[in-house]
Amino acid sequence: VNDRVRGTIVLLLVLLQFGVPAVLLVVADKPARFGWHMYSYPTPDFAVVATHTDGRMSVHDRDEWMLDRREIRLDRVMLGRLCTVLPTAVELADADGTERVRCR
Amino acid sequence: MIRQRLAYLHAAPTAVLTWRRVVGLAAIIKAVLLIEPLAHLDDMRPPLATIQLPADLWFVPPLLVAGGGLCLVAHRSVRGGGSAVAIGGLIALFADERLYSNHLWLLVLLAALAAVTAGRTEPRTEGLPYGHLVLLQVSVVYGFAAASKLNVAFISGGVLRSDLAVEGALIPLPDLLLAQQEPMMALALATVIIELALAIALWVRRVRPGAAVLGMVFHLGLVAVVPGWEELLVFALLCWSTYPLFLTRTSAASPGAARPTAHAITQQVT
Repeated sequence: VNDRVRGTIVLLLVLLQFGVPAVLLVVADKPARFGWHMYSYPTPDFAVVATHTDGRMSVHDRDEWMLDRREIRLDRVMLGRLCTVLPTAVELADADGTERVRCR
Repeated sequence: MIRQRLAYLHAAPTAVLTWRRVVGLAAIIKAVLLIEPLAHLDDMRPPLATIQLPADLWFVPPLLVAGGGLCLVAHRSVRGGGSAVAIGGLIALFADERLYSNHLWLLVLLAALAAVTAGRTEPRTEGLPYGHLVLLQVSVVYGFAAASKLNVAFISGGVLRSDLAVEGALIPLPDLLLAQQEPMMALALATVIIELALAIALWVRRVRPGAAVLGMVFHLGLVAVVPGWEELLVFALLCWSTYPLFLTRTSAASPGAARPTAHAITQQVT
């Protein structure tokens, strides 16, 4: 690889280095992965109230599933996904009951 | 012309050696930190994986990261070692969203750069290929960390307060301080200013020693007061690893540029 080609590769990679976090800073839900959003934004607490097939209710928080990363928007993506790890749950709701998902 | 100047970074051979070794040290620590979450990933797994890592192979990413880290610390098989760290880190990053962390992503990038900058024999007379990417990467990290903090929630001190109130800091800030609005705002503003300053000042010849000292103190402060000090130590090591490159960086055309000397390290690194 000659110097000119190597320089062009560096230039393109520099554009990527700046471009990816710049785009994420402007358009992504924050905090986003790969954007260097470190300790920058508040993220809502996350707790799930599960109603099970036998009528029992249980409360689960983020620590239970190792969900301590702020870059995972738990409030937006997790509710439906947690049906798969709570096999007896018929319904999941967030802590204040504003969002509900039927598992079965 | 600019493309040719971008091709190589001229820095002291010992700075290059230090950079790779400290990245290797950070990789070894990170490998240890990866063991527990990866070993228990399958216990209660929400489907968050981009790539499915079979449960029986949970040990592969930490093994690759640790082995590669050892190669970098020993400065033997730098290409293979850097690649192993980068691949192991990438597998961990995409095996589960819960394993994402900015310092793991930075480790992947710096390890990959350690691999591609290694030559058959070193030091190279022409300079460190792709070396500017190493320095720019750290500036990008500082710069975007600062830019992302320019929001009301952070500047008001609220985000810092909730982050620092979590248990697990080496030196927890007193509740009395956390409860006050003004000190938390001042701390938030200082964080943004320091990160912005580091993104720029490490490139300015006259102030770069001072910037390096500021960076050392800043990261030590983070390790001390922010919960999760082990991960912040990895992050600190990765940033610090590049400081010798910043400090010894010279223009290719300038007299006295950091050229390899007769007694400089010369060894097989492929």
